[in-house]
Amino acid sequence: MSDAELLVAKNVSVSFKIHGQYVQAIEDVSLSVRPNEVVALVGESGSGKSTFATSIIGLHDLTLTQVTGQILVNQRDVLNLAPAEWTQVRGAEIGMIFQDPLAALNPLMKIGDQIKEALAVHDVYQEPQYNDRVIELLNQVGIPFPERVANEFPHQLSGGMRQRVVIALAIANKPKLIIADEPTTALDATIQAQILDLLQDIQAENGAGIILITHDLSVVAEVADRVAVMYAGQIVEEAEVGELFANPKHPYTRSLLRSNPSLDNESDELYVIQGTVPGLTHIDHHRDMFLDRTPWLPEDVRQEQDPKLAEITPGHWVRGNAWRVFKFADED
Amino acid sequence: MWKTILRRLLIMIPQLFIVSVLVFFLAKLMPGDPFSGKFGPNTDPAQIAALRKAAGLDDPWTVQYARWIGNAVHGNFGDSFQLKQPVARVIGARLGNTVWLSLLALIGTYVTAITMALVAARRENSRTDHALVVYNSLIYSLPAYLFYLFGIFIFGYTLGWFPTSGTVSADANGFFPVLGSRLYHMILPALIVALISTTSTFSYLRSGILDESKQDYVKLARAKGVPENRIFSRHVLRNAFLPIASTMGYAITGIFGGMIIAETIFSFPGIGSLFVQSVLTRDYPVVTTLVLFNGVLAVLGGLFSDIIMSAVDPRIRIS
Amino acid sequence: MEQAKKTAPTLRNALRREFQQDQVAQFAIILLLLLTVAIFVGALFVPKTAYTDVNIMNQYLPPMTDGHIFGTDNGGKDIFSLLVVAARNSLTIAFFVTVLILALGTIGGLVTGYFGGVFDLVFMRFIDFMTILPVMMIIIVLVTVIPHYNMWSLIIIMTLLGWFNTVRLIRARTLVEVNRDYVRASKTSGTSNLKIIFREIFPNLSSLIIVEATLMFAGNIGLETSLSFLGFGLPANTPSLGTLINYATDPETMTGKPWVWIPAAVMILLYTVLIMMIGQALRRVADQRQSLG
Repeated sequence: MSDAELLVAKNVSVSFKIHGQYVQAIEDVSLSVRPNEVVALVGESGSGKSTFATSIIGLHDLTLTQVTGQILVNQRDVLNLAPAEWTQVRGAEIGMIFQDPLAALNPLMKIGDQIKEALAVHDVYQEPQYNDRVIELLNQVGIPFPERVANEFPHQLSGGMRQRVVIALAIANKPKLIIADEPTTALDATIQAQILDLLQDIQAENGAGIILITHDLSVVAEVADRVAVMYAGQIVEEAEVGELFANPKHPYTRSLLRSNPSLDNESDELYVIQGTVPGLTHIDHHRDMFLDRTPWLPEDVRQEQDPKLAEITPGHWVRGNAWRVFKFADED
Repeated sequence: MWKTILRRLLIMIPQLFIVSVLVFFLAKLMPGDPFSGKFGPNTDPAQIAALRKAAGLDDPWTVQYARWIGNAVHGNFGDSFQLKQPVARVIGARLGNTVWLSLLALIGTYVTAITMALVAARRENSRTDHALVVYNSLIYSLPAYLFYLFGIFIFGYTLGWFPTSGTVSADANGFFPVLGSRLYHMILPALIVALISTTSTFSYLRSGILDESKQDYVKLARAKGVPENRIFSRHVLRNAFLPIASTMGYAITGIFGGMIIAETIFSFPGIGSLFVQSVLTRDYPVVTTLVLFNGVLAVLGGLFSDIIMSAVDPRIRIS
Repeated sequence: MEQAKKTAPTLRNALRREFQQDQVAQFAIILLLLLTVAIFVGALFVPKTAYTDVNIMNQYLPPMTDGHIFGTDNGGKDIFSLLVVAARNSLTIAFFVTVLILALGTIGGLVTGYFGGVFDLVFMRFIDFMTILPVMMIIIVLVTVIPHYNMWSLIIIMTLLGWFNTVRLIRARTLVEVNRDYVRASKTSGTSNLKIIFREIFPNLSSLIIVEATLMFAGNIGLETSLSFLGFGLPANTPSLGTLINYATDPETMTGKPWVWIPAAVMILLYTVLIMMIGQALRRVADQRQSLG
């Protein structure tokens, strides 16, 4: 089956050891990614989206983190991989794009050398091909004068250029699964658009599946095929992108969309979601934590026990039942 | 990079100038001049005054300074009051000893400090790590002479493992025996100096390793599939060493300063003990020259550090 | 669920709490205080004759002879009396030097960090230059050439040549504080610069200063005793712990008559270690306050 899923994550839960005790950061998250698909994982800081990404590629701290559930990459169970096996999977089957390009590049290493290092630890390319592959990659990510840039150091490049290099590093060995962790957050708006275009080009060329982690809904609207919305370590809504923007159901999704400033909005004021994201130790995964921030809803609705994700229309999943009666505080 | 070096060299010139001026005025504070010791009680004071004038001691300070610098550049630092010899020769006879001792001590310091830092960082927060950190704090806070004294007391006299003074045995003959004897005499002082000077290198390297390990580029390297041992050597360690490079120049001057006490206690005939002796015997030409030497060394040390830094850090080299 | 009270702990409370928890630091500070008080009070009872009068007949008496707890030195002077007076002297000097350096360094660092500009540029170049000079050598030379030399001359010399690093430290921290909102707010509301510096910024540096003070105190004990050890510290008839240890440079005294120099060495060791233990606790408090912002 050519459309076999690149990533299948089922019931993934991650806990961190804080002060000797395990605290659950994400609970029962399931996600899958197919080739040529962009799945966006949306949420604010503290929602657990980066934690999820880190656990897929196995970069979590093994002494302080517990991951349960099932994670299959290219049908292979990666949850219990040995470190030696991980070094083969990372970079060749999964590529990761980091948020801050200045911090993500070794300041003392030439660009070309950093790319060559990525090539050298895998067998996709052989040594005589390295130099050509470096130039080819730099061209592919849209960097002008690649021969010169390959000999330069990160601090000599602009922010946008650096992020392109980070992307080049992620795709150096043509991995099928790409995790992009807030790839445009640290960049200017104009550069953002360019980087997003680049990601789409790469996907078209390599047939890759991309998990796009972001808090920016406009980015989601631009490139995503499917969207999963996360809050307090749980997925609260998942749908195909058009459907999500047209028919958002979960209170959090609706609040997010409403607070997003848009040109269609007629009112002068920005909608603010009252309350704050709960800290890790204050989360109770047996109820929908977002409902703490909608105090105007009836008590029994807010205290629903163990709200589950249910498919309300084909491909559209929502957690719990609060959405059925949800209204904003200022609605009638 | 050459531009940086040129700039540093240019900054060095006013620094050297200021050092020489400071030393000059320091010298002027010291009582006595070349003629203090050369005459008996029956000499005619007018004759002494005339000699002073002829020697240019009545000239304005700017002229005296210029003359002093002019002479210094040619290696003429005047004559020692006590030893009636050119200062240059007096210092030259002892300089070699100090250089060798300092070199040995420096090597020992770096080897020890780097080893300790690697061990401590690898086992962060373990007992070993804590012990090493406490050890380095102790040697930093306690005065050096205590260690030298106890070292001599225990290893020199009580255990008799090492000689406690001098540079070479009186009865060593031939190249190798003399070399061996010299080394043997330097082991104890060099070892102790090395073991108590590790603190700054140790703490910089240790925190450097710990900090760099947490950086994003290390995570990215892992995400590329680079195996752990290569991550440590090529990314973490190499980057953690950077700040150490900048301290190397200052380490050189620091060692020379430490030699003052070390050489005195070990009766080691180097320029450190020469300094102490000369101050005690009021041999001011020697004192002045040694201070000048040390000041110049300090400025050069700073230059050296800057050069190393720009050679090693591309962010400075290419800007 | 009870809401935790959100009060920023005052320095005094934080210190008290830390010392209550840390038994080692508790022990250290009590011992240190007892020892210091004993030394200073004891020194009052030592007649000057005990360490100026030379009595060759009593030369090098071993400990516990003739009422000399630690024996006598080469001039027949009682080591115990010498020790007490020497300790008092060394501690006094270290104390004053520390206080003066902190005062100078803090004011310098605050002013240059706060006002910045050309003054800061020039001043820091000056400081950078001074830090590379061979300080020990210069102190030694000055000590020998200053006329009417006494304990205060030494204190002043040590202070003037030792305040540069403190300026750096304080300035670095001041620069961080200056960029904080509370300073910006005060500036825009028109508070006078002096008030901002001393009423607002300075208290936030207090934990830093205290940690620095303890380390510096130990360091100054070491420096002064090193100088005295070489013969360049206190004037002739004022004993210092360093002058006592100097006896060890004679091989015969070192091995044959260890009671002369070992008590002083142990005293320095003891003080430094105790100060270190206290310093660790203080540093923990300072780090906590830093992270609480």
